[in-house]
Amino acid sequence: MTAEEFREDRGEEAQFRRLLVARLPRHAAPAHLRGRISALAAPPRRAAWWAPALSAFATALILALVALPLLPRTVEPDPFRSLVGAVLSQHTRSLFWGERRPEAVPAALPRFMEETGIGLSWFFQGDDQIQLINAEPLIVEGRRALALTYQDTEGHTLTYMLLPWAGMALPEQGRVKVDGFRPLLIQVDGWSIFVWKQKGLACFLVSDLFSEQDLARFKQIFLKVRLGTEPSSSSRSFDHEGEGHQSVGHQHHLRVSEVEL
Amino acid sequence: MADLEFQRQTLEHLNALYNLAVYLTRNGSEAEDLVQETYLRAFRFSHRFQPGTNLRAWMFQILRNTFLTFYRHREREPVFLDEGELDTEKETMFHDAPPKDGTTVEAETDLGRALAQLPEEFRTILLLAQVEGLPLEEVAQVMGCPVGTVKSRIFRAKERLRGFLKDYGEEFKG
Repeated sequence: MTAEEFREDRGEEAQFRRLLVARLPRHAAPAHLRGRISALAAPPRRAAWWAPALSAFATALILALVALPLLPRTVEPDPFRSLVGAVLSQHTRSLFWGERRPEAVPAALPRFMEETGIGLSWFFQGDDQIQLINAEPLIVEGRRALALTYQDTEGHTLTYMLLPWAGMALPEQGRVKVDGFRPLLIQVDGWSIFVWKQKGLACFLVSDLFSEQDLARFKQIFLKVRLGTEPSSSSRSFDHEGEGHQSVGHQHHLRVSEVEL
Repeated sequence: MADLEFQRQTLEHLNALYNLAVYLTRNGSEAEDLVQETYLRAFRFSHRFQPGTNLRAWMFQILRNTFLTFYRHREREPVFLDEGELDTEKETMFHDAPPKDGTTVEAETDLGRALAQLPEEFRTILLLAQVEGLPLEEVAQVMGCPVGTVKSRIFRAKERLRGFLKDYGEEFKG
């Protein structure tokens, strides 16, 4: 390349550059872009160490507040009601699956009393209206219980269940007067239940004698069972429920000590 | 994160970077995103910058690499064959080229459109070397190629521009 060619080349180069600079619009960065980039450059705010925990807590709190009306109310379970339900379950079980073996009861009962720790000085064995057909040890609501099953002449099955009372309160509402006693009468779902305390034991008598007419008969049976059965003082301390006793005719009770083992 | 002095120095090149970004993306919004991403990367990798070297070339290099990574697939590049030759059958003129006597189109726009028709390799080199005035060595650093290749591309870019501008009756002496 000669010097002249070099000058021409340089001149052309300069002309080309001037053309580009002059003709091509130059785009300046918008102010907001500068602001965004400056924000990028700013040191990030350091999150407090407790920020994640606070965020999680706030989220949980909001969720709880929103869901609170929708959550099912948790009512403190009534131990007495639970016990009544469990007794009813045992009664219905014995209706369907219980055996009928009245002849074996006297022999088996002492062993059942030993297993359950519920002693009976004597017990109502039945009469011409109602018959003791079975006895069995049970676990009811985590408590050892003793159940005696009766059947009347019309085929109604009754369960007499004894188990430790464990300090439960017997509700006043629903008490009925049966002679000198004031047991609680519960009628639910076609079942009638007498509940009373006797020598530190909770006693339940369950039957399907539900109607008003049947209820009068049920009260008579209650009296027979109540007076004809006596928990031994060794099993629980005496807890007298009624003010007075009246004898019921035709009682057939059997002292356990008289039972041949 | 970069220190304040580094950030201040990089912001001095914001306009130049944005200008190149507009010509690369042909879209103002994308240009802003490209520049923002460029600065984000520059701040993040500021420890890789060697003080005393050319910060402007370093920033242009990041911008171009970012463009190639994220934006190039979006634009309709002229078909660029091996050895940098343009496929003249497909890209000999503008798709919306005016008639030969078209004097309605401003020459300024014609030049911009002609520039946009160049392959990115040519366009960027022209803008860096001729518009931004970077020395060829710095352009070579940005482009990641030898200085000789930069010179060759500048020459061929001018040839292409001349050919494009003839379609518009624009005087361009080479």
